[in-house]
Amino acid sequence: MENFYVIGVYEDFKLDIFPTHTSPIIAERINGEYRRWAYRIESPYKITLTHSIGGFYKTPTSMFPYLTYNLSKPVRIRHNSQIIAISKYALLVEHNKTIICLKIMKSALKNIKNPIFIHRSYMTIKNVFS
Amino acid sequence: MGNGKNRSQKIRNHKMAIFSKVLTLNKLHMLEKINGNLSDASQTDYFNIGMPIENPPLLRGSIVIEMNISFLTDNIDSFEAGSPVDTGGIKFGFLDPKHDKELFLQMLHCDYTKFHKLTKELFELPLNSLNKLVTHNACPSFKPILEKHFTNSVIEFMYNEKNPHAWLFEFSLRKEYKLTEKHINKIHVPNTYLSNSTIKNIKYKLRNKVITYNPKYGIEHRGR
Repeated sequence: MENFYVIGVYEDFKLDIFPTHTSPIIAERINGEYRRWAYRIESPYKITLTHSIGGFYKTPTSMFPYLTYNLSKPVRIRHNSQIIAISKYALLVEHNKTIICLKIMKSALKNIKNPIFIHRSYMTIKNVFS
Repeated sequence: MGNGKNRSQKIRNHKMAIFSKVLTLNKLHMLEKINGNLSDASQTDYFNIGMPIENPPLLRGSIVIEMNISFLTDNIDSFEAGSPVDTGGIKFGFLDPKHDKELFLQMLHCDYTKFHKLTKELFELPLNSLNKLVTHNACPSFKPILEKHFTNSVIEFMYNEKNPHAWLFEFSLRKEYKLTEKHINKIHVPNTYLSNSTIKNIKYKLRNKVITYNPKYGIEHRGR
């Protein structure tokens, strides 16, 4: 998956649901141009790319006739990467479960006065391992 | 014995005779409708017969709503248009009917009466055919029904096309459409969304119709 990146997520964060796993928008990048790919998520957890959708575009934004999703800075993806929205502006793309947990716990500490965020952090850590 | 068998088949058919919608939190107005709140953000929305397309889902979302036939019949006044084929797929070139686009879209167009009749006839098919319908696969038993409503060029296009979007059976409703507890069979939401107050209200209102799933695995792994 050398040329494949997470360029955003199939979600528009209009409600506070952080932190949470979310579905990545995956694109192939060749010569600076992006092409979207469809994928299947296997259990045990594995992202399997199935086929490309449409052609190459100069920017991720131009891939969508109507943009109702959240785009982000491209981050390289692996088959076992988990994609977690820590906030509207912070997307974690990481395969190492220990690092994921540490990052979620760090953000939980920052939001220690928000019991709902703490509860969702607990749920998300459970989701990381299930 | 025969009656019992017929009844159990009717119950199974009833469970599969659904409409669905995949949404992201961009469609907050739909969640507000369920909660009984009027929203200025309301807009025309598209729905389809059967499950969302999932092999794999091309445009993903986080929430899946499954609705029963009353959703269509109660919204007769808001009905805008129906089509057996995904009209967005034709407009944006993902499906190529090899006809003039506008003319082909006109051939697909269904008003309420036509779409309701089509839906009722399709939902009465035997279980095996119904299973194909809700998963957006072609089946020979659809043909006599389609022939009553569409021209040969539409039917030929559908049977020659492998893309499940050619068998979407979509319809659109104007923004004033109703979506209430009565219309909903199930609503699937990520387990992390449940602690948000909007989703919590929906859970309170719909009780056991709200089913949670682990969002790490995406909507295709939601419980059935």
